[in-house]
Amino acid sequence: MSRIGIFIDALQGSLPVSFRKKLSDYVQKLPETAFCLEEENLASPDALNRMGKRLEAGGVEGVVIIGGSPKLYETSFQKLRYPLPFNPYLFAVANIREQALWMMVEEEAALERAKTIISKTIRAVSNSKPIEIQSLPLKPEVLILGGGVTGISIAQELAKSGIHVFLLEKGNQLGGKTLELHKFYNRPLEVRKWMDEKISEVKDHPKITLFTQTELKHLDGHLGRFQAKIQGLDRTETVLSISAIVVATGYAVKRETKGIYSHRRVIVFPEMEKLLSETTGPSLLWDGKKIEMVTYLLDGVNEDIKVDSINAVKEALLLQEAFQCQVAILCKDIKVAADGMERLYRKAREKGVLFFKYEEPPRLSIVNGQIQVNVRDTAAIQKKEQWPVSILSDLVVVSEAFIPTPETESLSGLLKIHLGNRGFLMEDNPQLLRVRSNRRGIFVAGACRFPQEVSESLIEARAVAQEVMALLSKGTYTYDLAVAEVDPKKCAVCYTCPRLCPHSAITVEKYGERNVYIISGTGQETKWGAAKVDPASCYGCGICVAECPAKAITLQHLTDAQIYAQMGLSD
Amino acid sequence: MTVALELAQSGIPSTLIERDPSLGGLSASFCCKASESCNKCFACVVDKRISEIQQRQDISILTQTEVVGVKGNGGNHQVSLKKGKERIDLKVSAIVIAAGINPFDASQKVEYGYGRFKNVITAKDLDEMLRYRGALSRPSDGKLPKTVAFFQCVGSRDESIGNLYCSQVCCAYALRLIKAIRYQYPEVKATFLYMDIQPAGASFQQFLDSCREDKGTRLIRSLPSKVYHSPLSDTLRVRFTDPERGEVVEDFFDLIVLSVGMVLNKEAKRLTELFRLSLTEDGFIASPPHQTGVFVTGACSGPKDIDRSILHAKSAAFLVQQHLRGRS
Repeated sequence: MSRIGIFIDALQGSLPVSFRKKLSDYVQKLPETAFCLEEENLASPDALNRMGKRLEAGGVEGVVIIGGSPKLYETSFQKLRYPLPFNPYLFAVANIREQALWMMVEEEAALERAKTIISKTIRAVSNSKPIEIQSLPLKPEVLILGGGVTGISIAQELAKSGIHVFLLEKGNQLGGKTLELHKFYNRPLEVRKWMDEKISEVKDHPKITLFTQTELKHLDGHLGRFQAKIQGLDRTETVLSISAIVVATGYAVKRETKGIYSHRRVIVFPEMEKLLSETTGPSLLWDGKKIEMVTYLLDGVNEDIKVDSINAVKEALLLQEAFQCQVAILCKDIKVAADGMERLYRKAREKGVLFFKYEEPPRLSIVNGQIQVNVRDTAAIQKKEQWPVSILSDLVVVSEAFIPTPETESLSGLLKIHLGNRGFLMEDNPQLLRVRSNRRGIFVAGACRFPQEVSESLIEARAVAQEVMALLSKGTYTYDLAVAEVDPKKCAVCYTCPRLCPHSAITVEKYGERNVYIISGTGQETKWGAAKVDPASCYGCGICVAECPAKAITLQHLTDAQIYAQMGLSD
Repeated sequence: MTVALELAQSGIPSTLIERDPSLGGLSASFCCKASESCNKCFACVVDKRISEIQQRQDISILTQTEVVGVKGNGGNHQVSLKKGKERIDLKVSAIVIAAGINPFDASQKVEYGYGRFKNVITAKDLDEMLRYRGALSRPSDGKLPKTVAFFQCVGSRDESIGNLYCSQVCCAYALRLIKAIRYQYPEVKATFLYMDIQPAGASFQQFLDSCREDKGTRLIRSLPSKVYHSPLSDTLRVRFTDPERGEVVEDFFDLIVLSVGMVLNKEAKRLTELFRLSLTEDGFIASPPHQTGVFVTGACSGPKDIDRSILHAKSAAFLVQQHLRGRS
């Protein structure tokens, strides 16, 4: 029988003396009790010290604290955990104050209830096993998928921090979609120049190994021991072993080409940016003719992405100021939720850019080789002003739909990470882990999760670098074995658990000492395949435990034996 | 708090200085805005952070403490603090300023009658009402309001009061409040009066569509011009232009919620003088060059929601580490 040490916490008097006396009398009589000590305030440093000293003296295999809600002790436990040679999983709290004393009107009834709670807690602790802490070495090596502005920035930041980066780009050049931009909306810089500097730094950095025209073909392993098979243009395969992976594969666009949208004078944003960057003269030419009227048609697609709205206002100002064009911007809502955007919008209005807010989609038609745009402005106050406005335009700039890259789906299968909204890659938990994927050691960053503005991507890149550094900087990953474990002998390889695991921590492997069978005829020994939980990747949620038809999986810190003992169902 | 936690993860101890008695700042008073499912308001994250930070030994927390002086630069700063009557001197290698924001003082918009009419409240007042009282009620008589109007852009995108910027969070914030109220009290009808709806994050479109589908929520593109009070029934008469009808209309509401924008924390202005930092055009703190060893993060550097503040804090934590590495 285990010997349990018991501490009664008076919680600064909220457990009355008489009640404590009765509890202590009851506890003293229990066969498991090694000692029972009372403290006025267990959370105080002095009391914790005394507790530590008493436990160091030995003689107990578990500790039960009789007092208030376990939450009260969480903080002090965390502090206790390090100086004490005592496993945190052998502590348990019997919440007498909230669950017995405050629940019952009669003290007698409260006492009875308290007794039940205490004996259950003692039984649970008696059946607990200490849980080891293990550590996993982590090499400072990271794979980044995607050489766009996010991927490049993360590579730069990590390389500066001493991490070796393998940067994979499927195309033949770095830079991604950012290179299609001419200027930033919020910085007086030419994007090309800024990007070229970044790209050459990445190319020359000794800590960055660059693979262009290379794709990820296969991924094995878990956090700290990922094995990535990559394939270059010449079909040669290389295997990289890395500790962590960052996915920054960006987005793709889909252009509407039906009907009038295929007209020469209907263009998309990258074409306008290109035209602006290539024009040196005082006026803008299209097919050799001067452009005087430009209409932007926004919000036809991706209404919730502000990138096009920002670019339209930025370009409109440039068109009005440098090329004396008249610009009209048609949108549902003008998106100014970015730093400095309201000022830019204000400036555009002052310079004479026309803004129309529509509800019914504007109609486009061809009139004398130009595009006529008819729009009904809902922002006009008077009803009579809401008659359709016709804008005869030399150029109409329309948004392209932002969609996931064509590889996103297969990539999510390869990496075993989740897809979310509209088929983009999904973060694990939007509240807590914005850039982490559902798998430990794999991060998602930039536009492959959600298309955003360059300056936002830069902040996100640094946040990812911070997450990666927090994981790798110590050189090891420390975790306790409070995770699920499969008994390979019981496993029927039904593949239920690998499919259900939300964190892709389970694979089927041939392992285990007792998992051996002899091939008939040859007498040769071999092993069964069985599901295996990677302890460093497991979050200990228990889904596989509940679902395993063969009851082959156990949560180390919450075994069936413990639960049965607590319920008084053992033996 | 996020910066401190991130730094602690990399083994860098830090001291957290908070002027208020408790941690969490403005966002600690926010209520959960879930309807049938989570609406991603991030209010719960703040509570989680507070309990996380209190478990760490490598972060010392000084509440009710103010910075009164600072010397040095680069990697050596000497900070003098005042906690009550006590004076504390700290030597630190880097300083992070995350002084936060204040909600805009809605009484400056005289025409909406905040401060004069009891039933005109700010979104922050509503949030605190839902968090601490757990129920929606009209301040004047404690009854459940039947009609609630939300006025957007109060103190944002408004040159007349000198705030020519978008506070970026209030659209999603107000719509989430509407969603939470409509879920808890289906009989309450909500009206959302706005200029432009600003998107917020990856799943915003579905969220907005669900708001548009809701028959008890009206979204009207119009900012009201004036609020009148009828003393007899305590209802409020609001004058605004109805774009559907193309004319100026008046409507009655039991409760008016002003979606107040963000302005830099009043106390933060003192800090900027102390640290000799400059302000941006919009009145937020501009980030000084990294080599000064002073970093600015969160909404005091420009309007941000909780999600983006956390992301910004993580990136600041990374810069701090780079700064420290560069020095050693």
